[in-house]
Amino acid sequence: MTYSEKILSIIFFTFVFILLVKSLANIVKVSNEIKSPPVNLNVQACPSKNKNYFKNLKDSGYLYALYRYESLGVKCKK
Amino acid sequence: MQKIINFLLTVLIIFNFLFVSVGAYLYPLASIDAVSIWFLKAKAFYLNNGHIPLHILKNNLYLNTHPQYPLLLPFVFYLLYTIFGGIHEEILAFLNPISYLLILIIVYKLLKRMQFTQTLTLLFTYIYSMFSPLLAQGGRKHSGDADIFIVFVNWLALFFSYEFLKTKKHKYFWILVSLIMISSQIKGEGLFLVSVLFFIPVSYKLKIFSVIVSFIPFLIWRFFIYYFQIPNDFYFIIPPLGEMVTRSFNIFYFTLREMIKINNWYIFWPVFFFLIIFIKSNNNFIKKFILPSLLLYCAFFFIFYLLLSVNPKIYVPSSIDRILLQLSPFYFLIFVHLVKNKMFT
Repeated sequence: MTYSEKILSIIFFTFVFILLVKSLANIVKVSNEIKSPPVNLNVQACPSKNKNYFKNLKDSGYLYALYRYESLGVKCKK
Repeated sequence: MQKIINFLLTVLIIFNFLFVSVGAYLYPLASIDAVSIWFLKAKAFYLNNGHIPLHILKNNLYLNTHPQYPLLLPFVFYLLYTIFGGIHEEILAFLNPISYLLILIIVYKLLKRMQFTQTLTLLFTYIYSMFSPLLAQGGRKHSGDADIFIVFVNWLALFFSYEFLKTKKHKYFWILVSLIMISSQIKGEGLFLVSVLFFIPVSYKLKIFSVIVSFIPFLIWRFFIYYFQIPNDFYFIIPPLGEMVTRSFNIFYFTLREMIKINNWYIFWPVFFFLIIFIKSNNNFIKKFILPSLLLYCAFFFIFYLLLSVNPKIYVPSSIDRILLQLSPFYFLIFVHLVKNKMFT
């Protein structure tokens, strides 16, 4: 094994090791998420529910979505 | 021992798919681009029975970001809404984990085609599945974003390029051309996939003809934009020479800064550059096709950033992670090939 091959082996398996550690962290993360689901950021039928999430994003398209839902007769809280 | 390793790698890959799926379930609409561009246009299609009134695209009261983005994805989403019988964005959010899974299947299939052993194929598929920008686009808070669809098309393009180079069957070549046409209608930058046509071994005439054909949907869409005067939130400029130097520096600087982000790429990029510098490759697929295509693809992005009205200092840091993800099929194949050649032969 040449010098460069040795270095390559070390850094490659370090890389794989880091990925395995990250996988373990992800497993813990998912199990926590399932146990206590995060605050819901979803924008579904009524986009105005999450107004704060969008307030800095200058999202008039979002207002359009709201307008269209209301035009369909969906009542959204403001 | 090898069977145990294979089993563990398979479990890890399946877990990653579950990881992104849980993300799509818990945060189906956490991405602003999904809400304000892709799903919004899809909604407009659905609520107006299959067409978007022009005033929606032209009036920034309704749509103030990227009105010039192509309409293929929103139209596909609209078709899915008609199948679902309503606007179910939380179901559409699962298109990203599905695309993530399909991408991993293509990676697996392509590596098998390239004569990788089962263990190496699974190992490299696992490594690719762990890229943070891919996990994010797969459903971890970026469900509904379009970049993963470009990554998917890019992988398909490389898969069919490989098939074409192996078999010389022209049906694969025309599938490749079709994929470029589709890619250009997902996002404008999807057209950069055309770089592969410049290095595929076909006659000069066929090459020119196929490049022209692959531009057709893009040109039609540009004509539509021009004819109906659809506005945009950015445009192209020719900066003075001094500014070009500064812009070039910023493009490289912010790209390199992204590459050393441990959270996104771990130590992938140092490993990659180590391989590129110290290891030579004689594989024709890599040397004569993948590498030059990647360089041309990068050059297109470089020019795009250089001439964009938005200063690269602002735009590169906020977009380069997804651009690197779009390019990933190319450099990842170089990576796996070099690692395999040096360590596992």
